[in-house]
Order: sequence, then C-alpha cells, then structure tokens
Amino acid sequence: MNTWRLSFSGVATVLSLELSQRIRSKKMYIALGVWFVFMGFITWLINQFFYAALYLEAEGVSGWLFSLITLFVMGMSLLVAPVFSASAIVSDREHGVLATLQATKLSAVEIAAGKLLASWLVSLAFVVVTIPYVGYAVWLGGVSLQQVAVATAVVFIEVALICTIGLGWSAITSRAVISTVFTYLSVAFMTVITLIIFATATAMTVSDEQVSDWELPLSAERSYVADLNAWFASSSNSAAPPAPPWEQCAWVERGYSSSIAHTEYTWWLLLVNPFVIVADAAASPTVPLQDSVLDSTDPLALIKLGVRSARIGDAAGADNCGASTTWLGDYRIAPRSDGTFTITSPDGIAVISAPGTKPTSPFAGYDIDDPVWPWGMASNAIIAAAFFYLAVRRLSVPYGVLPSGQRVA
Amino acid sequence: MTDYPALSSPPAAPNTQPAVPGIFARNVRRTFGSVLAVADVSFTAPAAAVTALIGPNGSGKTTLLLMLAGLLRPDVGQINVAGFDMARSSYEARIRIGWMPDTLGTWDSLTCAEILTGYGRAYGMSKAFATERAHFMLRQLFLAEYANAPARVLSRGQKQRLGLARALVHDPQVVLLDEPASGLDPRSRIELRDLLRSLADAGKTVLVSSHVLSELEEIADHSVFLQRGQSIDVRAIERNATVRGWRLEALDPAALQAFLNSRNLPWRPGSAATTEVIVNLPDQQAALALLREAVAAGVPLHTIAPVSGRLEETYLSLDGERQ
Ligand SMILES: Nc1ncnc2c1ncn2[C@@H]1O[C@H](COP(=O)(O)OP(=O)(O)OP(=O)(O)O)[C@@H](O)[C@H]1O
Ligand SMILES: [Mg+2]
Repeated sequence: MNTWRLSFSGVATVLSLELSQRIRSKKMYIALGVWFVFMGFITWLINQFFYAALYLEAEGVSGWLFSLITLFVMGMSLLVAPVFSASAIVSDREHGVLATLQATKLSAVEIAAGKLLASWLVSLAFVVVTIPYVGYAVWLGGVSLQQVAVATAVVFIEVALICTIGLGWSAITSRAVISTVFTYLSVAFMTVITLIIFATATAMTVSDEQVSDWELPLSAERSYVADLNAWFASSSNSAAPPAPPWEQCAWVERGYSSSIAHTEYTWWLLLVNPFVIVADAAASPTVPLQDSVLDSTDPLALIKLGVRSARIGDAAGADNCGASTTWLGDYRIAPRSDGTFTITSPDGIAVISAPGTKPTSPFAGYDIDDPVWPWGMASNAIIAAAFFYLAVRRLSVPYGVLPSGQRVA
Repeated sequence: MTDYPALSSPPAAPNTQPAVPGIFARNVRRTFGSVLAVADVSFTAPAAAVTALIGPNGSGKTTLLLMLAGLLRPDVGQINVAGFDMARSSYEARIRIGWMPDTLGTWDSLTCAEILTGYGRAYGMSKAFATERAHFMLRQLFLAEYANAPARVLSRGQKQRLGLARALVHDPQVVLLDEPASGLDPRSRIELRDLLRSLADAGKTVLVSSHVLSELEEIADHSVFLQRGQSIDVRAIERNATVRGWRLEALDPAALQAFLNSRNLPWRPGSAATTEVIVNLPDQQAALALLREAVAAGVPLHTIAPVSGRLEETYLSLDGERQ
C-alpha cells in the first residue's frame, strides 16, 4: 500500500502541525529559560569548585568543565526527550485527531517521521541553549573544538534515539501516561540497568587462574643481555645492536594464582549506554594504560578508558614480549613503529636496534586505541530502527487487527 | 496539483455526465475479537444522491463508515468507493473520501484556520492554496469570525461545523458523515441539509448516518437500515408497515371517542399533554374516509396527521433493540 510512501511535503505538513502546537505553549519557553539558568548555575559551581578549592590550572578545569557539562547535558536530554516524544502519537489518538490524519493523503511513514522530527527538534532546543557554557570550557583552553563538535553530535543522535523509542511506545499504547512511563523505563534500562547487568555478569566471570606471563625465558634474556653488554662495551660499532630474540618468547609460570574478571565477555553490555558512547567519542585522548599516567583524568576520559579496558579484558598474566616498553636486565627496550627497538643502556645511551623478528602476542585482541562508540552507535541505530518500524506499522491503515479496547474513532 | 472547484459551484453539465461510481458494499463483515460489529452488510449508495444510514445504537454504523473510509479492513466482503476496490487500492479511494467521525477531535491550541490549512496540506495542497481553501470552507460553514480563534473555545455545534469543514476541505467525491447533525441548532441543521443537498447536486456521493430521522426524511434520496450489524431490506419492512398510526384531536374529546367507539375503531390515548387519540389506519384513503364521516357526524375534529415520518416508522418497526 502506501504505508512507506515518503514525500518531503507530507513530512513537512506533520512537522509544522506539531511544531505550531508546541511553539504556541508558553510552558515550553519557561522550561527553556529555567534550564538555561540551571545549566549556568552548574557551570559556575564546577568552575568555583575546581578553581577555588583545588587551585587547578585553567586547562585542568576546562577538561572537567567540559566533561561534566557534557554528561549533564546528555543526562538532562535523556530526561527531556521522552516528555516530547512519548505523547506524539498517543495524544493525537486521545484527542481523536489521529484517525482523521490517517484518512488523508499522508502515509504512515510521513506521520511517524514528522512527529519524530518535531519531538527531536524541540528536545534539541534544550541542548542548544547549553552551547554557551560548553563554549566557555573551550575558551578556557585544553578542550578542542573537535571534541565539542563530536560531543554535541553524539548528544543530538542520542536524543533522536530516545525520541524514536518514545515514538514507538506512543504508537502502541493507548494512554500518554503509559507511553511516557515505558519511555522512561527504556532510558533507565539503557543507562542504569545495563550497568547493573554488566556488573552482575562480570562478577560471575571472575575466576582464580594460575598467573603466567608471556616473555623471554630467563636463559634467553641473560644471553641477550650479555650480547648487549658486549656491544656497548666495544668502542667501534659499525652495525646496530642485535634485536631482542622475541621469537623465543614462551609462557613463564609465576607459581601463584590471581582472581581475574573476564570483562571481555561482558563489555558489550555497556554498548547501548549513551554516556559511554559520548565519552568514548568525545573524551580527551588517553595514553596507553601501561604508562599508567593519563593525559587526562576527567570523567569522560575515565569512562572511555574503563570501557576500552573492559573490552580488552583481563588475563592471568601479562605480555612482556616486546609489544610495549619492557626491561631486559638493566636495558630499557621500547618498540618503534618501524619494527626496530630503542635500546637504552643503564648509562642512558639510547641506540636503535637492528631490525629483528616482530614480537607475536598470544593476547591478540583489541587495542586501547580502538574506538567503542561506532559499535554503540550501531546498536542504538538498530534499536531506533526497530521502534520506528513499530510506529509505522501501528500507524498504517486500513487496520487489520486492533488492540483490544481501542477504537479507531 | 488537483484542481479543487468551489463547493457551491454547480456541476458542469448535470445528467449528461457518465454515471460516477458511488459506494458499493457487498457482504461486508467485521469483528473485534469476539464482538461482531458488522455482520453482513450489502448496499449501494449512488453518486449525486444523499443516502441515509440508519440504525439503533451499536448497530455498526460507525464501524461500517470506518471501513468505507479506508481506515478499517473488513474481515470479509467487498467494498468499492469512488470506483476503487478497497482491498487493492484503499489509498486511491481514501484520498477521494471526506470522512467526518462521530467523535469531535481537534488540536486545542491551533486556530480553526490553521487546522483546516493543515488538513488541506495533508491532502497535498500548496500552502497558499490550502490557506485560501481553509478560509473558503470557514465562510461556507459560517465560522469565518472564528478563523483565528483557537479550536478550544468553539462551542459544540461550532466544533461540529469545523469537523464538517475539515471533511470537505479537499472537495471529496464521496462524503461520509457520522452523525453530523448532533449538537446542531435548528438553523444549523437546515444549513447542513442545504449543504448536503448542494453536494449531492454537484454530483458527490453523500452517506450520512444520523438519529435525527425527521431531517433525514426530507433530504435522503435513499436509506440503508442497519440492525445488529446487518443491512435490512427496507422494501420488505415497508410492505409490512403499511398500517400507520394517525393522530386525531378534537375540540370535544369525548365526542371524538364516542364517535370512534361507535365505528368500532380501536384507539389509544396519545401524548399525555394533549387530548389526542391514536388510531391505526391502513392507508390515506381510510384516513380521508374517517375524516369525512367524523365531520358529517358533527365531531369538532381539527387535527388528523400521521404519527411520525416514514423513516421513523420503519426505524421503530425494526424489532431489534438498542445495543
Ligand atoms: N474497537 C472495538 N472493539 C470492540 N468492540 C467494538 C469496537 N468498535 C465497535 N465495537 C462494537 O461494535 C458494535 C458496533 O459499534 P459502532 O460504533 O459501529 O455502533 P454505532 O452504530 O455507530 O452506534 P452509535 O449509534 O451509538 O454511534 C458495538 O457493539 C460496539 O461495542
Ligand atoms: Mg457511531
């Protein structure tokens, strides 16, 4: 039929009908004003706290300011979006105008898209008024404009997701109240309940395992250190020092056990979480865990680090086989991108090794630099598509089966 | 862009046009779970005529109209509207139909003009044309002064007229009205009647469900009776219902009653507020004969009239009850 017929003018018609109703209401402007003042107050609080209480530099403050504002805007958007979307279809049904709309030339998908767009735009107004405060964080320095753009884009997209979920619920319920409750439950599920499930599931993966490290056996290490000693001792070196013999790496048992949480099996439970997605996409860059010093310790960076480490997971043992900086004897061995190694002697003399065998790691898996957010976005897109499809199906006429207790008009 | 002629414009050449298809339904049935709302309905509503849809509460009128409007799928049966088969081309049919539900619904915060413009655009009109059309419809239905008033403030009858304007905004070929007269004052009813007449004269198919039978009697060219979701063969009922009640009233009630008793005519008292009596007579000839005799016998008879309209008579002779 014409359920999926989509025209620009059809969507625009529904959109303008919806928007002119919302724009008419004064409550909307009052809420926006209150929200603007409230966000200003939060910004001022964070600012005062870090400047006055912690004597932080402007850059440190800006990272925290940006993080907290982003998380706050995300949280409030998740609370605002259901208000505008969860009544979209069901309120028209309650007012007895839905059937007259369906009887026109408009197709189900045009009605659904118009209403979705309207609730999305109205919710976005709440995101947009916070931009001056994010701008303040940028002005302090330390946060790049790109981060701001990414964070804003992610919030926009997540609001669209919540609006679609609200639209879906509003299509299948017969009361605006019920639809609103279900939409808030969905938000709670995506943010808090998945977190609880993640924690519980992770706790169940914890097991005691024998610790063994993947590294050069002591004998191989000794003989290589001896080679290096000889190389540094000789005064006339025409060739580069030998590369570490990584091909000899083996499991070395440590003789004790440790309890390991296998988050690599459970991390995906965090994927749908909008806070995780925005943090992973927009946080300041982190440096690898092994250096244990983070560029940035603001909340966004910590969430990002947390989810990425969870994906890498934990193992009873470490990879000391040249994948990252290691110590062999008193020599510091740091990998270089071209496959050679920087070898620093105890006297502080750094030289570059001859090309050698590339270290192989039994821990092959994700890297800390691999982003998580594309998967999160994809999972959200699937959820949104399902709810949108549901809404369109429920709007399409002529009705075959009607939910019991519901009249068309 | 479809060309929407003015509502009141006369048909280009009445009677010479090829017959425009109206509404055709055969063996239509619809259930809601275990509730049988429409059991078996067959009827035809020709174009250029007003057809009345009459039946007691719960007989399935609204359900039938929903199916005709392309909003509800019949379980079985065939429906053709404006020449399109509902089962295959419900969209084609739908956009040629103007449907007015029995429940009034509007967006409270929008003005009447905005609502009508919105619906005009929903039917694919350009913004400028939809606005023009909206104001035209408001004038047609005597709502021009409320053009910029929010629909919230309208009275029930005004809302009903707005609903009518909404159903007609795209100049539909087939008009389906579910109890359009409810809530209208006598003058508005007459205006509604004239409007429906002009629509029929312009070649539209008009199907009206209503309880106000006296109004339908004057306007409907055809009538379809529904009872327990079933269409009734009206001719069969009319054959049975030829004996009608007649209302007699005389200045001297006692003389009238004595006269009737002397003729062995059974009578019963009419409405309590008057001294009238009701007698059953087979036809108008009998009524005339009775009148002559009464006058000849010196009874001061001043009123003799059929008890009710034909539609009402038929309606009441349906043995079904309200549901
Ligand atoms: N969506 C529905 N679900 C269940 N039953 C329904 C539904 N719609 C209608 N019915 C039932 O079908 C029957 C016909 O209803 P309908 O609304 O068509 O009656 P109607 O002739 O329009 O009555 P009225 O004159 O009171 O408007 C009624 O018994 C009603 O209870
Ligand atoms: Mg009804």
